Amino acid sequence: MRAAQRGDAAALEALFTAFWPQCHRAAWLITRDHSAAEDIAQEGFLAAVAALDRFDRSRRLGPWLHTIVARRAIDYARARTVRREVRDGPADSGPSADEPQTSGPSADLLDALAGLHHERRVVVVLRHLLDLSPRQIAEILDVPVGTVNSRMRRALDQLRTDIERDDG
Amino acid sequence: MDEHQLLSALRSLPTPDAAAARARASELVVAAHAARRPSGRRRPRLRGTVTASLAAAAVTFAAVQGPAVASWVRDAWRASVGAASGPPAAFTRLPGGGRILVSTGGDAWIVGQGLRRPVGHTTGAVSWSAFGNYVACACGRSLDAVALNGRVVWTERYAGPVATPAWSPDGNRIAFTVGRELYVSAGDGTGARGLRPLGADAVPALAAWRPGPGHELAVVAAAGRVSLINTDTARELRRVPIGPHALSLGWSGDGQRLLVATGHRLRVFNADGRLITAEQVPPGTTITAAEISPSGRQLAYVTSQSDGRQQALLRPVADGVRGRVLLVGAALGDLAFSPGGDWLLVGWHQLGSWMFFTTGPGRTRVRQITDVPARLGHSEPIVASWCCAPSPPAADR
Repeated sequence: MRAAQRGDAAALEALFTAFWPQCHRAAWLITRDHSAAEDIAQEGFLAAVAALDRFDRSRRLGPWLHTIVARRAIDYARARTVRREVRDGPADSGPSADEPQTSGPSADLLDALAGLHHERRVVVVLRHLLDLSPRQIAEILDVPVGTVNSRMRRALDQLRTDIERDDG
Repeated sequence: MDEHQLLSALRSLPTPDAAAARARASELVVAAHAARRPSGRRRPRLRGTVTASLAAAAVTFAAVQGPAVASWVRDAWRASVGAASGPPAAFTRLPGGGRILVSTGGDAWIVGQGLRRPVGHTTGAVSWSAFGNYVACACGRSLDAVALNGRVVWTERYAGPVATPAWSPDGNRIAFTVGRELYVSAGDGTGARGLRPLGADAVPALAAWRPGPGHELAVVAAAGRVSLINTDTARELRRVPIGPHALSLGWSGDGQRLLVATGHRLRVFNADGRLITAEQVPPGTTITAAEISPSGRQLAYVTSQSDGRQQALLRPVADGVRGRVLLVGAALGDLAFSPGGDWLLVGWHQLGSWMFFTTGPGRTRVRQITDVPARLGHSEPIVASWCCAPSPPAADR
């Protein structure tokens, strides 16, 4: 981090390599739009680079970056819902057209995640992919920690049920 | 599935287009990092004109030296733009805000405000609706209105090929051509009627709605003249001779100034058809693109010399004032003012980039969006227009 702040390109690339995959994947799972996901993750990194000098090195980079990306992805998903002036169908209705071609456990999990209500899927992604704490998630979503925990519990129950049904 | 298994499974989920997305993002982020000023060090400020000169030299050099050097030029340009102007722009967050409608030779795309997505198919140009909620796409023998999510809201079919739709500023009319005839329909696609046949030497692509209360359309319906037509009565209100090689028509946001560009001249008329200003380019030079700013106070244009060298210029609408050179290069193309008029987009096909320049007085700020063709999956995407003004256009000084 210190080297990246000094302008070391290799250090920046190492940070990018470490954090890009999770950020990109999380943005995609939240928005279900691969173009938007790329842009959101990209903007998150650009924002992070712009704020690099101000970053407090006593903090961990990962949660900070993950929070930036999560907020942007959630904002995008909300804006898409609001953009109903164009008489969209439901903003989050079923699998999107750009689901990757997968089979086996990944496909089962993708299907199960797609079946989750948006609010529950966001909690799962933030907690288990971006490794944010329930308190951090609560701050991002502006809901009580108890709400985060209950959404998480219901989401995991539903995922388990859906995946076991597919397996069975 | 326990939480550990879920964590493991989530982290191994495939992401669509992962490798290409990662490569694009990496390039952009590394460029942004290189362009920033590391703490404790100061870089000298470079003015936009210096940046443009660097680019000019680099591109000229590249043209002579070939593709290997072109790659170096690309890097050099990126470095110079970065040093002069700060980090490059993210693809969907345009300097100047709003969103751009792009035609990619078969598809229409919208870019901006967090969006980058195809919205419909087109074979004959595209147009924003009045408030940017829909796109009119000419596709074969049909005219489609498409919502931003790609849903076709309505389709009207015609006997001949449909082309060059233009949605009126109030949203209540659409002008388009069917074969060699100019048509106008209501904003919902109904009630279409042929307005007038176009001469063999007409330029059907050149039709521009005048902003204002009526439905007045400026159109090059025959070579050598612009006609202003009340489309509700089909009456020709005014006719202005413009000479050959009509290139571009455009109204200021208040409908009081009309830019008419031909291959060798830029002219701005007032609403009564009186000439306000004119500029003729030197012999051996042609104008290849031109736009008037939303305030009607500035003109942007691209000139091309016989050796292929091009310049993008910006000048006030006033006689005897020279244009400010923004960019010198080759394969300069699209021009578009931001909705507020404070930024100008110049397409630079040679570098696959959109260059953005501030239009106000003082130091010109520059932003660059790279790899536009790769992001839109087409070698030469064409910028149709940039919308939408959140409020009446600000005076762009």
